[in-house]
Amino acid sequence: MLLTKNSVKGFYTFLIFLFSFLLLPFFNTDAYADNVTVQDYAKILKGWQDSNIQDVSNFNLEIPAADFIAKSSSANINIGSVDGKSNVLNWNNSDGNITYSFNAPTEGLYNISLQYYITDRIQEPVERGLLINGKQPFLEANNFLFERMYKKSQYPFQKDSDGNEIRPKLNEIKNWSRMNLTDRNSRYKDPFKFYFKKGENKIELTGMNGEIAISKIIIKSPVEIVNYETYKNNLPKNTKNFKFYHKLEAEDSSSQSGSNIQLINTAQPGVTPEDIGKKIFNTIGGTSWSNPHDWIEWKFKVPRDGIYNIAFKYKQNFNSDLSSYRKIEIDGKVPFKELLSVSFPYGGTWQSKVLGGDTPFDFYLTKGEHTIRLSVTNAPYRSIQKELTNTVSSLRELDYRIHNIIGVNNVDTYRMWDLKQYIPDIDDVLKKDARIVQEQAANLSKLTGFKENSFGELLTAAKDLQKLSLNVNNIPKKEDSLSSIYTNITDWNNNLSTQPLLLDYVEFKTKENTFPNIDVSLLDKVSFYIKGFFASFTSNDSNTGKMNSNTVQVWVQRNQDYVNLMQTYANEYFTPKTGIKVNVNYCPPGANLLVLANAAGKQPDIATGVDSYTTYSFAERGALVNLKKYSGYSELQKKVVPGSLVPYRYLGGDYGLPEEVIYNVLYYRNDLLKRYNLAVPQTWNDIIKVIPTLEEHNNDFFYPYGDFQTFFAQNNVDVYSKDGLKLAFNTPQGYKSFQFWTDLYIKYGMPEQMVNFYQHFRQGDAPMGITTIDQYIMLELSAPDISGLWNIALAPGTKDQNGMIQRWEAGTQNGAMMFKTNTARQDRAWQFMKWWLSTKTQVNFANDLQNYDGPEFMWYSANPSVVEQQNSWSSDVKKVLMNQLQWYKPIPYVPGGSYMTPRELWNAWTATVIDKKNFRQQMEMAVRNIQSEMDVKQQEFGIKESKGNSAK
Amino acid sequence: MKMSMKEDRILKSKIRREKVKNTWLEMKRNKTSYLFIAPFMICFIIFIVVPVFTAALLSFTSFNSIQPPKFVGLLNFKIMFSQDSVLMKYVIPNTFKFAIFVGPIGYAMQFLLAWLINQLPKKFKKLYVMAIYTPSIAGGVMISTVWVVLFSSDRLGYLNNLLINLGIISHPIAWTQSPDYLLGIMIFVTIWGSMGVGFLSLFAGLQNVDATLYEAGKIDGIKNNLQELWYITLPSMKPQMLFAAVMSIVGSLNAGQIGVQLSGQNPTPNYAGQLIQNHIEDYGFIRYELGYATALTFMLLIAAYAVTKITWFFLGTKEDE
Repeated sequence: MLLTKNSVKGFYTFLIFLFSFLLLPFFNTDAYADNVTVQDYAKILKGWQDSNIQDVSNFNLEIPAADFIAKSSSANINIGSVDGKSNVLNWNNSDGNITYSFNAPTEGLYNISLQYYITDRIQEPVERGLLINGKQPFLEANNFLFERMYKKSQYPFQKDSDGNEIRPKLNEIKNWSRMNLTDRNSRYKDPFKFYFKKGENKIELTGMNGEIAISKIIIKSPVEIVNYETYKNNLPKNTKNFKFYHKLEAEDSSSQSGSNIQLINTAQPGVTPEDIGKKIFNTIGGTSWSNPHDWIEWKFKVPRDGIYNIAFKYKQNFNSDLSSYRKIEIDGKVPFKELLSVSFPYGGTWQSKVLGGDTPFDFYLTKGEHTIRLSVTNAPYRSIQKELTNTVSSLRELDYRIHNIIGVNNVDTYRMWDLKQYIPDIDDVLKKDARIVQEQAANLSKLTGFKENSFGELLTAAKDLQKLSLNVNNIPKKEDSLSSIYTNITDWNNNLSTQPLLLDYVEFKTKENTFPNIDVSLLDKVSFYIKGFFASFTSNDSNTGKMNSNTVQVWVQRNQDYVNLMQTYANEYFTPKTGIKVNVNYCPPGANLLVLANAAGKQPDIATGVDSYTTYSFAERGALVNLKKYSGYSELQKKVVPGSLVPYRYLGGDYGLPEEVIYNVLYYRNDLLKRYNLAVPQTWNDIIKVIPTLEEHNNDFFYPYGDFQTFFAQNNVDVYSKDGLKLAFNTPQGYKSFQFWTDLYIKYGMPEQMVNFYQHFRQGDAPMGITTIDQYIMLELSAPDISGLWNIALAPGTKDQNGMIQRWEAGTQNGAMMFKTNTARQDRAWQFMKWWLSTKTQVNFANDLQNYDGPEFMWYSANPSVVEQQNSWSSDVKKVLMNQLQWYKPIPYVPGGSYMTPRELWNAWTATVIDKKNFRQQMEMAVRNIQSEMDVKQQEFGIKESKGNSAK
Repeated sequence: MKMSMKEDRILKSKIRREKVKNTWLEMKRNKTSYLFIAPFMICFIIFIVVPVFTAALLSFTSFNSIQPPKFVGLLNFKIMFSQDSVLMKYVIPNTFKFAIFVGPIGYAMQFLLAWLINQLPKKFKKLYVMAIYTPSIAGGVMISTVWVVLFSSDRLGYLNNLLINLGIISHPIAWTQSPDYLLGIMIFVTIWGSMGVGFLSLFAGLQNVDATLYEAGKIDGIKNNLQELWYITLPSMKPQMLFAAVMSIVGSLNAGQIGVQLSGQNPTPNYAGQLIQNHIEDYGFIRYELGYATALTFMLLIAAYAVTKITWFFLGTKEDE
């Protein structure tokens, strides 16, 4: 920075250069501190306490949302009525900001709550940020999550013909709700307090994500929740005693915060209702109910006014030796402090949690219906997590400083270092961090009641740090001596923020009754397993055997979860509409079973999830129906990106439609790029410029092995001639593209093969790479240690003559195809196909797939408007994906070339790069081999040299 | 003359008819025997004779596995010997090298190992036998979990990492991608994996040798273990040796997946690890030329039969023994 600003050359530059060089280590520390200029809530709160700023009392002000004093032009806002409320503010996009102003009677701390209605049509999270008097009050205020509410379509659940329960649909309940501004990660027990000075204050809402309607903003004095003693003393004294016991099945919940919370089928003795041989949803939650803010609410009735006790039958065998915490609200309010975080300790089996323990809490409930809500809270772990996170960043920083001195990768382990000379405080930092980690283990033990030894990972980390601090010069001897410690701590720390809990039922009783014992006797256990064993002979999980001539047979080359959902979908939406029954079945991926079925005349009507090469092979041999002639084909075809249709073309016919496309995008680590002062590369020339910097730090750029199509596509080289009979890439431009591809490895030293990009990316020695989009979900879900430190961008392209960046990328795809049967069957099948590939079905399917089966079940649709309406992508990612999807361009398939071209080009690549042969010679050989194979195949299919025919 | 010829013909046909009738009667008489062999015969015909016969037929056709086969005569075999350059240039030499190493050399190692372990005290024997047999049980899984990681082509691969740390190489070697190394690695891994079965039968054979023979041998002047091995052990375990030999040779001819598993590519890079099985698969399931693929299978069958015959010649029990 100093260098670029200074235009004076010569001696001054030299001095500044020298100076900045000396300062470099400090600059880097600053860069790290940069991120925390806004302090977190805990620190701010402490500051308020120290300067004796008090909560305001008896204040309540409602500002109508329509009365804003200013808005930025990018915010798309109108005033209208929504769901019965008029004069509300409709925020129809997620950009810009809106400012309100109000007069505070006194200086002090206030709560803010909002009355809102989620108008967003798709299921993405709705988020807004908050500024007070133009400044972000604390770190957590940059992002508030507006909750949604979901409801099951029915209870008891519907059963299929085999007696297995069908998962009910979750529908969003649209209504006006009121929310205190709280931490979206549930790390604080109370709603946030905000400081307002006396007189006029400005509140500014900033756009983040999603669309929302707001009716009013409420500013009020904070409410202190009483403790149990006070609560109990205030209870009505003269309540009558009577006997009452009620068991509420946990799966009979009334609403929940998100569709991620799942009904679970638990086949274990004692779980009610008992699961014997059939799939029954008898529990709820588990690992699906573990993220901050996730809540489940139940409705229950009590017969009379009186004092009741509450208990839960739960299982928490997920996080060993840790407790899962829940905030408990009854009728929308936390009745007393003790319920702000109720611990559900770890245990191998089902346990009973009576609220209040041995002397159960008394709850006063009036006659009639009540609600009880359990929400995940991270508050008890907050300080521990914070300390551990700080330790990790301190160690990461230290590690970076050490590697600045000793180098990255290929460190000379035989060299003796005197690290203290370079980093004088190295042992102090290590000692301090070891102590902090040790303390957290003690804190955890205090919190959860388990022995300190249970937190062995932390103790080991502390011990290792202690050991290293005694002999710091051992650090360079093992490359990952520090990083392995802090990745362990991070992994462990992340455990703390997931708090899974599986519930079987909730119990209510009066004081006169006792909670029944939940233990299962040995006899019951044995009889349960024996019954289950015999029931396993009769249960029938599949629909096969119900063959019917009027049924559309669909074979799906995806796993069973997809198949089940597809069948449910067909039964629910397609069959009622058309009267056509559909039978969806699993089929192993690849061509083998389809070939056999086809030979036996038992082919399905439709196969989906089939890779494009298999579809093409069947098309080539006349087993498939040309879809072009069907009505509605051209509309379906227009919906998907044009590139995804290329592999299905053969002799002028279109023999398939794509479902999913897996293409490449660029992944990069923003922390490392920032450190190396690199911009996100846009073109391959940029990458060539970036590579030396990466290699300087012993890092690599990752590019998938064997992807030759990209360079042809980006340089506008056609692989085949228009009619598909001749190879066309043997042009000077084609040779150049191939040479560029091989030069990346020969000249620029890209790693020939990197087996596990995910691991390298995580570790940071491959801070950038191009790989498939399905890695995104993997990195997001299983690499929490780098969460927030990476992002994706459009894959780099090649500039054409006009300076436009051609970002074409190849990839893989799968889709649906229709077998030749008879006209009636084909017509029915086409109806199904039309329904299945319609944008509406695809959007719902993509979203429900994740709702039912978890976030890892991502649907990579070839249809950009499906991607647009998918819930799980954030809007930035969506933008990248939708853009990159348009740049999808695989090479067409032609007889003989479909398999020979990739093979020969890979061989040419191997010979050039690994065997160091001349690229031109190899390429020429490849061209010869491919062309001769194409000739053979053209002869086989009888299309050789017959004019007017095209093989494409 | 004419008459006699005619008579002759009538007589001949009569005799023939008589013969058929006799056979039929004979079969009828022995129907219980036929009944007894029926279960085997039916299975044998359905599962062995018919497929082999169909394969033989298919090898004279052009069949793309979806449309009905077309008869093409000897074309497939003509192509095999005159045009299939990959077969001649890579597949046959590779298969030959692979078979020589994995077959005889692997076999010798199996025997050596069995013999060495047999010398151990009884306590340890079982432990070693178990340890050596384990790879054969876990073969497929182990290949992807252990070997692929070991020979991983980047810096993190165990072998590359070790060599880099020792300062032997400076840049990671693409072990399973490089044509120079792939076949060697395939041979190594296959020997490791196939050790078990042959080893077990040889080990069983060693246990079976009559102890009195050794005693007699000692009296007859056998001086050391090697002599014992050569004059007593080997001759008395010929059947097991034959079994192990046939298994390892046929096994090595049939191996194919290993190269694909290691390199993660089918076909293997530059056909470096292309064995006859890969080649068959290539034609059968990638190029959909099942006719040609069956022709190749047929040739493989003949080759395997020939090699087995040779083995019999060396190891089989002769009439006079």
